[in-house]
Amino acid sequence: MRTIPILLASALATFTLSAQEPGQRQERGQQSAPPKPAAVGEAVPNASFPQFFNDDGRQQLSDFYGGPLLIEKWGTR
Amino acid sequence: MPSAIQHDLELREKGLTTILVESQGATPDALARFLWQQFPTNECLSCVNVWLPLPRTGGLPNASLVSVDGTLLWSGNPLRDAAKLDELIAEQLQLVRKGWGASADAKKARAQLYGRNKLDAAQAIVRGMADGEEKAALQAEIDRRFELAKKRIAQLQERGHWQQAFGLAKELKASAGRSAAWATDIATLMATFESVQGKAELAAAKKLARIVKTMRKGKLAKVSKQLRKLVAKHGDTKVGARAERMLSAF
Repeated sequence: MRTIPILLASALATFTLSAQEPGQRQERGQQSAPPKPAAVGEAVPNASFPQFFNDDGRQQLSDFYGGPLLIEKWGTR
Repeated sequence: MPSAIQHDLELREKGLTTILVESQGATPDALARFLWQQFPTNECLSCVNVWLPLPRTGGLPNASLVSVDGTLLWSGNPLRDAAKLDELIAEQLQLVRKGWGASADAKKARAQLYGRNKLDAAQAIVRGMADGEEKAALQAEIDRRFELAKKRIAQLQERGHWQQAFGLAKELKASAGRSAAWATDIATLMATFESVQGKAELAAAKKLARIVKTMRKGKLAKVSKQLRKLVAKHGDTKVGARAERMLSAF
């Protein structure tokens, strides 16, 4: 499993800048493993969202740094 | 879902961002249609299912709260743990207002940067700090914040949200104050709204905003006709393209 480096020192290290989404291919054609989900108390690795309904120009978890972020999973059925 | 929308309405201006992730396999069009029909006042960022590096638990709804500095604070059922969630959100909004960090200067700089959206004030504080890791980290945050604002404006323009982009550009201009470092970039940004194409986009955006205002009141009966009319007249704009995408949900 590829170790994803976590940036220290910078306050932005809480979002791992080199985190890759599941299935994203590396240069040599190997699929990268998704970053480990964060546990409570841990830094949340970066990830991208699909296009938002009610777009505000932000697209990655790290774009929301500086304010609390509530992510709620729900269903239409 | 309604509780999340309520949180958003009450606390968005204070700094809380709410993202709703539909997790039962809806397509983007189906999601848009559902939201317009059932929750027309919803202004939360909403998307279809996506893998996120957050705890996975059985059952819906399921939520996670990420802190101001990107740490996972809580994960669970937002209805069952509503009181705890409200308490944690209130603490985080306090941090947005007062800032956080090891030193008083760091707190003041972040309060200006994130709480008051004042890039120039945050920059002045950081400029006066002693050299070191903390100063470097804060400078990186300021630089990143400016670049993110530019990226957001460009993204919104591309996606046909020209009124929102214009609002953000004006906010960025005010936030940057008289700083020479950012003046050129800001002038370039503002020029995109003053060009012939920019004015055409804003004219189309004004019309689309009127349609969206009607939709937010739950009046969807004439939406398709209104959107088609806008697309026919402004089809060569990004706003027109956005209206066309909205049509596909109806």
